[in-house]
Amino acid sequence: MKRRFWYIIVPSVLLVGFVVVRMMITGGKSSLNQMGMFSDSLLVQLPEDKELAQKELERARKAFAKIKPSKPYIVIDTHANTIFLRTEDSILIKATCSTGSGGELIDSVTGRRWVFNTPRGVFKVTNKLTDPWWRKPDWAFIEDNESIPTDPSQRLDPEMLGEYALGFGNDYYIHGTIYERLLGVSVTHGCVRVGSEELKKLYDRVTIGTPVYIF
Amino acid sequence: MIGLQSEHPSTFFNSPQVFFKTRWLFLLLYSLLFCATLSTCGKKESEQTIAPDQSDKKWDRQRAELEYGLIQAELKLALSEELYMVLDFERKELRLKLKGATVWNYPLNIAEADSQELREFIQRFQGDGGRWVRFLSEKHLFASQEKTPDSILAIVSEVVKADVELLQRDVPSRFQLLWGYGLILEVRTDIKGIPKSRLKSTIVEVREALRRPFGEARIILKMDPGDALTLYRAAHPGLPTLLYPHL
Repeated sequence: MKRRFWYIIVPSVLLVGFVVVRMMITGGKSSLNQMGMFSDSLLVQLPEDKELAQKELERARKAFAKIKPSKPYIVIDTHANTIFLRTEDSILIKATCSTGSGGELIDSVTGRRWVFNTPRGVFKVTNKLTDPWWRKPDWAFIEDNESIPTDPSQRLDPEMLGEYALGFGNDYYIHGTIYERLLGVSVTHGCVRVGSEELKKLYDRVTIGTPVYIF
Repeated sequence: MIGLQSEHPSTFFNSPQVFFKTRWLFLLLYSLLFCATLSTCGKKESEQTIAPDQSDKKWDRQRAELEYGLIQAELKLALSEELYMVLDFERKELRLKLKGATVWNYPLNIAEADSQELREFIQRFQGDGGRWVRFLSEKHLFASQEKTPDSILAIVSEVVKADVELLQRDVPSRFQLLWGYGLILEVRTDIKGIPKSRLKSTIVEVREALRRPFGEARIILKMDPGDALTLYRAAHPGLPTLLYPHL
């Protein structure tokens, strides 16, 4: 029994212990599976022939250059609530903004549900508006415990969006605000609020079709 | 050996005589298993290596192959709508990119004294096979400061009808990004933060102390608090990271 302890149990415990410590050291994870999708790229080689190789490299360089925006583009950093107009190497305009709160609203009557996130991804400026009026959607009334008006004119608010608005995505806007003191905090329903001074600069420099990158 | 050939393993240990005849075999087996486990610990994974063509020096095939591989890797990353990180040691910049466009960048100001550490980091990142893409495995926040006081956010949350937690942002004072294989990017800011989860921080510190004998590469980066906030929040486990070495 004593010998069995020394020859079987002790080594087994040591081995298991060692494996556990090793898992602790490596974090118990391996990115090898995730790497699978990229393992091929490591084996990508240029053709043996020098001319073909040079052509292939040039083709790759062109493809790479194509994916980068050639003109200034808008970047919205939802983490730090900052908006930029920038190029690859320099920042042209930087301003504090407010993005979606991530809050949720459920209409207790109909069960409709809204999540107030600013969408992430790549979009384009689709329209430019001056003195925009806000057509209040249903959630704006539900949120304030008001009944939804049947008269469309009762939905219109000429003040809320400030002096300028830049449309992007599915009916989202970069616009002004009457709550400038809240800039820098994620308080919106998905749109991007910017202070009036910076919004004017942005509006003047941005054209329809300007890419909007949101992360 | 008789014991191993037995068709009735249940009777194997009941015969001490047979068992002690095979004890050396057991010891050998355990030693082999131990060595096998030990050999994988902290070791950079081996991969198929790309054999560089050294014959044509003027054309610099090796450099062209490297550039081509990096472009292909980034083109693959840019296909997705997901964010990816670029550790650009060529331009000394840390970048977050989306669809090929830089959305955030910060200078990689590594002191000359840390250049050895930097070389070690690049080597470990690449592994034996010259790997350019790895995925972030973990991030850990040691200390942070709330961006806006909770008392103010409580009032705001009433107005905008959203939870204070959703509105709050932690500005990091110190955090780490880890890719496994002893690769650590530590970010420090000037702000004095309040320590987060002491237990988890202790576990992370102990784990790193255990890992150190097997080798690690740590880059320490001093960062502006606002940029640190962006990097900490944007860098999630699984974030693809591309390394551009000095071409």
